[in-house]
Amino acid sequence: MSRLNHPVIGQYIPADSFLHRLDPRAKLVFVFVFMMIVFLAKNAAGYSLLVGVALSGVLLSRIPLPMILRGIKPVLYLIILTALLHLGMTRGGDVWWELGPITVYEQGVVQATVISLRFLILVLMGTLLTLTTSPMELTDGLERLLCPLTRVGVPAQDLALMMSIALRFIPTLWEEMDKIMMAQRARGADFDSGHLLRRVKSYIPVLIPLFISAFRRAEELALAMEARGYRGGKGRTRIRELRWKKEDTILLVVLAVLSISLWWLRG
Amino acid sequence: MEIVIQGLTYRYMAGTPYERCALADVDWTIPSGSFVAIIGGTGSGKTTLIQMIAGLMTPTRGHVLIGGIDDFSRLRGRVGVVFQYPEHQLFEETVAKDIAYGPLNLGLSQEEVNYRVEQAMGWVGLPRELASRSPFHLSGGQMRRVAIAGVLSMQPEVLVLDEPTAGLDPAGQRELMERMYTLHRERSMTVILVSHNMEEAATYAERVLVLYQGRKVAEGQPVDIFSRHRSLKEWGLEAPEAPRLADRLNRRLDPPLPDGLMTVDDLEEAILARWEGRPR
Repeated sequence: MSRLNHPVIGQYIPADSFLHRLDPRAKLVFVFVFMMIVFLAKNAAGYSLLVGVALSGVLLSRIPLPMILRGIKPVLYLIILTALLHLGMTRGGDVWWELGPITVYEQGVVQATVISLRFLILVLMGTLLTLTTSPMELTDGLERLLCPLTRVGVPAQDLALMMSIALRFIPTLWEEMDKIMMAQRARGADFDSGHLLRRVKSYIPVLIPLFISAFRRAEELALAMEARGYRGGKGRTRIRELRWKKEDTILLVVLAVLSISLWWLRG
Repeated sequence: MEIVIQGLTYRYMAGTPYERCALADVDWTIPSGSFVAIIGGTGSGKTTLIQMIAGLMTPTRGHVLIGGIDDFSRLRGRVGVVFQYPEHQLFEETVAKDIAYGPLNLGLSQEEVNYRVEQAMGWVGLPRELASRSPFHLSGGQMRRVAIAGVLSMQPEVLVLDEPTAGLDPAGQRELMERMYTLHRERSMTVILVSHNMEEAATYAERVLVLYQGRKVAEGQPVDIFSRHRSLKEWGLEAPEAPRLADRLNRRLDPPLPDGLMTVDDLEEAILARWEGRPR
């Protein structure tokens, strides 16, 4: 029953693997570009290449497959739903199957496969990133990547700080919500039955205390940060320095090769 | 309603690298209408245990029987739980509405609900004129009372109190405990008190359960538990002040003071009796 029993989607899993050791900047750039070049694949060769990269990622992460699958599971329903919609709605090509009002065309099957495959690869890569990179590394990496933009007025450091605070408080708020739900359940609250409107309404006794506590925490945190001399990002030194290694350069070379191959296979 | 706990075990995040055993093989029987205390250091499994007594978590192994029933859907409202810092769960616009939330969930009539709200406010000592005020504008101590009234208004037969006095001033602590004790006596309500405060456990509880690292390490009357000074230290606990002082006095007194002086009042009386009976 407790939410604490289920690891949050894509929660960082500490380990020592090739993927874990990579510089977060390299990983971020790779995943970001990868998510765009996925759409370059137009044929079987392109998709095999993408699947190959995704699977090598899984192997290199040294994270047990069941744990990766558990992270993907919630998205899996969405993928299945999209696939089913495509099966039923897309017309074109030969009729493969007919059942009452539903007709499945050849194009429908192709579309369903392509869309779910694309979706799966995207989610898999995103999950791999968060599974192998701690939230701290992620924000550090993002901050460094956004750094050049400070000159045009993007507050990179503040953004990174906001992000790391948000990430830091997800489990805390989650836990808090668990506690409040438990307390209201003990007072006879019922979150699982009745029609939709009633169910939404049943969450009011959870959301109000949750918001109040979030605001209280925010105020306390701001006070604590000021008390410890935080005056914005200027002149701050960092305790963890990011180090760009040979492997990171290799990763980017792989990315370049992959993009060119996909472009080439497209024709 | 007698509470029987058998082989109760709970593991958090079973099957992941974060797996942790919060409770292991706890057996305990709480007689109907008694006042018992669960003590133990931080992370000893106290809160996990009461969550399962209240049927809010399913044990990994073992079970809890309340009045012979282990189906918690049939026990709705009969086990009331006051969690730590219960004032953090207030949500309604007015004090009365917040207290009415539980009874309304039980499906009682508006008339009955109104009566119960008023009754519960009396039990916790909230003045009637606060009923229409917003609970968020009250003092911390008053907010705590509102939250406790919200549980009491369901008229539970078993009341679980998790650190009910944490963060209150000493007078407030004493008053709250006295009020709960009176309710226990008058309504023969079973009370399960979870506390860090050994004084409270020694003063009010008939029996004490000691948890240490998720295991039951001792169970008995406060007199017996709190005389085991060395074991208590090992479990990260300490006897209340009165028995500790009595213990140290007894090293110099012959004959020693009688056993079982759990509260400062008892100790005072024993010392006075000794003083008056001294040879002149």
